[in-house]
Amino acid sequence: MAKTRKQAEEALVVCHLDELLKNADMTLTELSKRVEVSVVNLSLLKNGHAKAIRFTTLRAICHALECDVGDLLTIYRD
Amino acid sequence: MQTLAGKVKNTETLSASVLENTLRLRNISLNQAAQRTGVPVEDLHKLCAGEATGIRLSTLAILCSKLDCDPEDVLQVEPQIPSAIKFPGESLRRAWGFQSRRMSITALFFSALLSVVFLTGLVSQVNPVDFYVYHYGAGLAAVGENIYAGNIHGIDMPSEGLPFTYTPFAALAFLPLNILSAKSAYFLWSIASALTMGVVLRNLLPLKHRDQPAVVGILGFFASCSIVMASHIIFGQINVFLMALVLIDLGRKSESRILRFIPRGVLVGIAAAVKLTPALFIVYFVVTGQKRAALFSSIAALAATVVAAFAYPAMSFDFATRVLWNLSDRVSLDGLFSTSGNNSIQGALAALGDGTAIPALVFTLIAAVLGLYAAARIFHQGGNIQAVIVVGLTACMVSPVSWMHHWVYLLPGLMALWERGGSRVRNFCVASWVILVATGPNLGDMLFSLNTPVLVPLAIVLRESLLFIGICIVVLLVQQAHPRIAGPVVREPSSS
Repeated sequence: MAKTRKQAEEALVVCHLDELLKNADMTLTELSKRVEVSVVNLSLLKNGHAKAIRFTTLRAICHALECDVGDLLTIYRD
Repeated sequence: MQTLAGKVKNTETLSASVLENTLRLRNISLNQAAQRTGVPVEDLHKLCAGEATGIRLSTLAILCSKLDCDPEDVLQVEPQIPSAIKFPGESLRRAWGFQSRRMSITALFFSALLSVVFLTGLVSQVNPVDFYVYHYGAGLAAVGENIYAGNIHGIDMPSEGLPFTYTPFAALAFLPLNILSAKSAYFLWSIASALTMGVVLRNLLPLKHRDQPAVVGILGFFASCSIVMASHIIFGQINVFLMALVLIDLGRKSESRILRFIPRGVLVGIAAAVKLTPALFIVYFVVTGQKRAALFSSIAALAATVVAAFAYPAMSFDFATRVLWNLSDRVSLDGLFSTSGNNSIQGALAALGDGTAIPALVFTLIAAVLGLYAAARIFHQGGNIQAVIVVGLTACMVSPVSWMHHWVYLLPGLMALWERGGSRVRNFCVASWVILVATGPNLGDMLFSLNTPVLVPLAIVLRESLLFIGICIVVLLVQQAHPRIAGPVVREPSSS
């Protein structure tokens, strides 16, 4: 485990919104309606341009897509 | 500065104690965490107290990498009452969606009770002979007899008796069973084993189903109906408890009050002192470079053996000098070795006929190396529990004799696959579970006896189904363990 975690500075947060939407067979617009967050903001998140995430958004997305935080956000260490 | 601190309390939406728990698990104070990560201590406090309204992804990345954890160890969303499965009746739907931790444990207990009554009362008239060996063996050892000198005899046991093939420490550990009569101890033992498997599987459920009594209860019942658990209960076996020891030791995410004082590896060592198979986990520790766990598990196993040697000196001497080296002779396996019950690699090949002993050994060695390699790979990619399951399955494959009740890691394996699996993997899980419930190996034997050439391939697959399912689980777990980098990557400057 140590091997993968030494280069701590290079860790990145990866957002799997794309996969989750595909699995749930849902479009971004549909999700936007359900979680009451604008399509623009959701697509920022989806395309990896978001700088931060609100907990209300996080919670709404997780509930809408029936997933856990760990499914939506993972850490990529390389 | 780094978190979007706000005034709104968010304790309802996010379970705030997650980060706190993670820090406690790593024995880090808030101040130390702040120092280590560069995130201001006030922000960390807000995150812990649930006062933050959001988090910068860069902060999340730093926290995860410096604290050596995953996003779900920092943030967690409370599960919502699921509405996925819809029933016609409103009350039924409400009952299905009902969530309560206490009730789900109660449901597990009743499903365990139900399945034990079902199995011992209706399905089987078999004596739980293995359990009687533990019970009477421990009792005889306590009164100073050498239980390795001959077979164990007791009420309800076969007249020729059965050998005690466990360690002297096991004889010591089984001693409390003698408080009760053999029958009532067996009844409690069976319920405990069904309940233990249920709890293990419950903890592997996706978060949102974990506290649903309906889901948990049904799962527990079907787990007990699978041939693995059914034969485990009918014979009064011990493997589920050994697996639970290993999983508690290696799979713990948060430190409970008691576990905090038990270093990682100790419980594995104790399990290995009862029965030899969990010793493969010590090899796994060495292979994956978990030096502390390897050390502690070895010490624990040694300590348990020494304790037993003090309690039963003569017996321990006999065991170490004579019995341990002739274990395979003690279990009279003539003919039984190649039956459908033995789903190990050597057992499967022995069924093909004579002269397969040497290839079987070669395959066994290859399986051991590949299994440990797979486990190490999964472990290094963060799949802790999955790696443990792979090691447990590998132990069953490479052990010369793996009866159906040895394959207890199959059920957690299927559960672990389910959560991340796509529809194909889930179909495999359902099919495997059906085969397990339908007593695959016995079905295979039945198909063989029909003497229809068309059915032979199916018969072979069913007969060794536990071995095949085990191999498939290992392969699929390795596939799933790939770090998921398919999604878009959020690139942020590492420090701000």
